[in-house]
Amino acid sequence: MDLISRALPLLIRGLGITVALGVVSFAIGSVLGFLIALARLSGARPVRFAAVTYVSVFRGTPLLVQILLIYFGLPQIGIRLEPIPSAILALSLHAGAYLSENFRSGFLAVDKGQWEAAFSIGMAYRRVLQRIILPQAIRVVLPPVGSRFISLMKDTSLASVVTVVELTRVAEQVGSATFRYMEMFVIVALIYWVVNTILQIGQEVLERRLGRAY
Amino acid sequence: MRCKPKAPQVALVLVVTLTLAPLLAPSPAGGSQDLLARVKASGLLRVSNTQASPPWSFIDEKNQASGYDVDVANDLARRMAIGKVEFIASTFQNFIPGVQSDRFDIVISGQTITEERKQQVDFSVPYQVNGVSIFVHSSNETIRKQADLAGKRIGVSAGSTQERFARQNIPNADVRTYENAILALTDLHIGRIDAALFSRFVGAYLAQKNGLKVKPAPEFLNFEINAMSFKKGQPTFKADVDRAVNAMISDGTLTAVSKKWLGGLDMAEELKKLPR
Repeated sequence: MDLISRALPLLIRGLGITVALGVVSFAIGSVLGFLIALARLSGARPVRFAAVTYVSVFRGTPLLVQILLIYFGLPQIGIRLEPIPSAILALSLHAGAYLSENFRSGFLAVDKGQWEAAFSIGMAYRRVLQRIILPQAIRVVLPPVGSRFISLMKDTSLASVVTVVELTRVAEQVGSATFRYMEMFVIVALIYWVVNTILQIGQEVLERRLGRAY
Repeated sequence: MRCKPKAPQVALVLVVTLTLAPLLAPSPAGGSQDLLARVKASGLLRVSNTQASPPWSFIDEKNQASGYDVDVANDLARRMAIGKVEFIASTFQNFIPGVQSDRFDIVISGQTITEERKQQVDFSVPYQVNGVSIFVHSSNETIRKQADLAGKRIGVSAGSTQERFARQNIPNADVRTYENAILALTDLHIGRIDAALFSRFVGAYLAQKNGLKVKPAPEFLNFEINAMSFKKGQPTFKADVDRAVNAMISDGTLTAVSKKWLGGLDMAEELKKLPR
């Protein structure tokens, strides 16, 4: 079909941008989420309060509003970001909020006794986290985090409203130039589905490896 | 405990369904129902415009749709003896699919007549001639004509004829598409794009009303002939709309509407100059 030959280079570029947005935002969001989860469990009240507020705001407002706010709103106070950094910032902050909740539930799932036992034999905080808590927490955390990654990959389509030419925008563009909307959106939906299936398989593999009993 | 979804079977069903679906989709051209009869029977004309391109269509202080296109739409309905008009906001990208899928009855939003579009929808006789300008930041002195646009970041409305123009005629252009004119010209004001291609009136209005630091290049980029669009294959509807538009042009209504919104320009005179 000549539609495919016309659209293919654009689709490949769009796919590259979609995957890049998804992977980078997930990486940043994970680091952010991990730190926020630790902050929520911290002893210091202001630290906990800041973390709770962040999660509440970024889970409680729509991602689209966050993207538009960062791209069109921030310039009004002098912060001007290009389209892709704006999208990555919004996606990371948004994912970070959800991921912090996932990580927090992972921590909470590990019995308090584990912390106490480790401290009682003189282990330092970081050691406890690394050797005792995280290996147990990660099995609980993996399914929801995997889901969040898949969601994030689809959420990247919202970057199209701030001029980023990712996969969905390519479908709109070629669709409106050729008037073959249905074909373009079906093709793009299939591409998203394939990408997410790969992520899903990755998650299953990871789960199996980390689930090996000990 | 593990129930594995049988991925190969799921995939097969999905692929077969999604491949067959476009073939079974109803063809966009031609409607079985008589549009004019339906609209007259219901007493409601659903008109679509962007509501984000002042002075053509925008939302005023009273949160009402307002502008040249809105006044024309209201007058059209009156002449067609349709009691009520409902305005539905949409974008240039969605006007054609919207008309084809009966989301609205007619688009009155300065849509340019093109051969490709004519294969998807029908157009009325022209009701608007629009000069498109290259807008730049007020401080910009380097971009003055089309040749200066090569390699620049150019803002346009997604799905508009300007988007097509930029992609086809400007070498190495970094074309950035926005939902509407206001967002694109705001980004020009912010400085994230070097130029924006829009109706001269829209840019001038926003520069004046919203204080956007944008200005048009001295010469027009091109002129567009715009008309109303509606579902294909509705000869009675088209005939009635054309009759109404021609009446608007000849009896002075369009002159009055354009003087109200376009600062002295008489649209009826411009339209009469067009080759018939």
